[in-house]
Amino acid sequence: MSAPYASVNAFLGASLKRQLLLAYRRPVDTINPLLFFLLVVTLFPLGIGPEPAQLAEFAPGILWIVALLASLMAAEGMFRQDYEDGSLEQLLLAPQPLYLASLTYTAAHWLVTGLPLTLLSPLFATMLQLPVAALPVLMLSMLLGTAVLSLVGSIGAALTVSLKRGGMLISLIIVPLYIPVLIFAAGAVRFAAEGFDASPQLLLLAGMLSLAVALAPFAISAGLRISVDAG
Amino acid sequence: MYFDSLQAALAMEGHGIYVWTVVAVSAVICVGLLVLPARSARRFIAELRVDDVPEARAAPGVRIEEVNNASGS
Amino acid sequence: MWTWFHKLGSPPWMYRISGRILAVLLPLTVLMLVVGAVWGLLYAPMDFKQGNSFRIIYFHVPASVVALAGYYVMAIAGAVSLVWRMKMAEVAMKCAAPVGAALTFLSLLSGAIWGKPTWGTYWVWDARITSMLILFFLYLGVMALYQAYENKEAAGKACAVLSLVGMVNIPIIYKSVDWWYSLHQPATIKFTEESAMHSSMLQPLLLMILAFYCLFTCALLLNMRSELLRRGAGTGWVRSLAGAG
Repeated sequence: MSAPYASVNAFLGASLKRQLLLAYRRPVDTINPLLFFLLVVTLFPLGIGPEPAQLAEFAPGILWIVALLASLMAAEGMFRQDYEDGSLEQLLLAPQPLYLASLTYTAAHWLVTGLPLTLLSPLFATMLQLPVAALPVLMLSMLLGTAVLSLVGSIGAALTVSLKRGGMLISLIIVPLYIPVLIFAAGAVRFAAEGFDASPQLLLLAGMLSLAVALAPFAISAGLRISVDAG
Repeated sequence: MYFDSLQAALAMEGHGIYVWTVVAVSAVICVGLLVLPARSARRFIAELRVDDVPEARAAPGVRIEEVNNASGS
Repeated sequence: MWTWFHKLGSPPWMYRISGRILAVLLPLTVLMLVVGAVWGLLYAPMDFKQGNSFRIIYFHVPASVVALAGYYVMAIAGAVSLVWRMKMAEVAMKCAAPVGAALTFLSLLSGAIWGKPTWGTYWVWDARITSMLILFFLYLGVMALYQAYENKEAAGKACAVLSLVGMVNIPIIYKSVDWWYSLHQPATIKFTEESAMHSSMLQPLLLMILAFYCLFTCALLLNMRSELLRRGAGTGWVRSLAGAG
């Protein structure tokens, strides 16, 4: 491996490690979205009634809407601390491409929100009476879908990090962009629950993920530059 | 003309209320789109003419912009 | 070519030339709107399936078409402002947002009113209406982001990035909503597939679409003139304008 690649790898590794360490030091930020997920999943049977058949019918949609909201909630604070203590500014001045740095932020965000949601989703799905046969598809759709949500959410977070009251704003600018993920991911789970083949939707989700991985870092880095310049 | 009389055109065989409501709303929005920015520009020039003092110029401009944006969004 | 490009970036030149364009285009737009509306409302034949309520098409379709095109205008202006750092493009982007949002609103409202006689209910989660609703949110997002920034230079850049992200997403959103709708389409409510329109119905529709494009252009230019004046407050050309006019 040639030297430039080694240094890029080292940079990626160090950056990711730093993000994860910061997340580890503030476990509340990781646990809160999961608790939020559990709370909202509890609300649905109380709101629409406990009949198992009815819950099972709504489960794909409920699970995905809640996953979307949990991811959105976590996205808001993604760059906040690094923006406030100036490390973001340092990062912009660093010689390493911001494209890669944005990817590590997103990866770290996904590892502490999307991945736990994916791993815990069978539990929540069982609470909502989703058929067991649909669980593999649910987990796969969560795995792919939450990664797209993290990438798209990072764009919103990067654009609003310098604003005092970015909370509502990030929902307004990001939720419309989440819609394709919601449609195909919930569609995949519904297909699986009804016993159909869900691979087309999963493949489309994988396609969205590829597109988002390729393009979103450009928007994230542009957003970070604008936010740091504005502040 | 497609309709026999003005009454028939207004009623449109029971669908008049829907069609003419859309026409009215469209008219309001189209006129608004053209009149509001033109009026705000005219008012801005008028304000500039009133307070010709350079310091006073920036303040009213900002105020109008806020009013304009609030009504525009 | 380059002198033209430079002139396009100059506020006084743009202000002057847009005034001249508007002097011609504005009366023309109003004329087309009135002629198209009267033609469509009173002279075009009735659709035998939907009855007279089909005449709403002469407002709903042009508003929808131009609302969508307006987003592309906004996003492309945003891209130009980012790539060539052209202030005029940023002004165009900022001014296109409220115009596009107003037309999207008109499209939604006329669609809802059209739904009552056609489907028996004001709101149907039809693929096209749902897509328009999402487009409305995209517009509102850009406008809200612009408002939220105190630093207006940063606001312009942030909105340009956001509108570009939106532009990449619009085809994906439309396709996914289409798929979602075909999956859920309730059996009782069938959207009457538009058969090939008779030319006597199509001609006024085309005129109205053209008229709405011109309306968008006029509204955009008027908004830009107002914005240019505000941005140029204190500079020579605005002062001389105020003094002379």
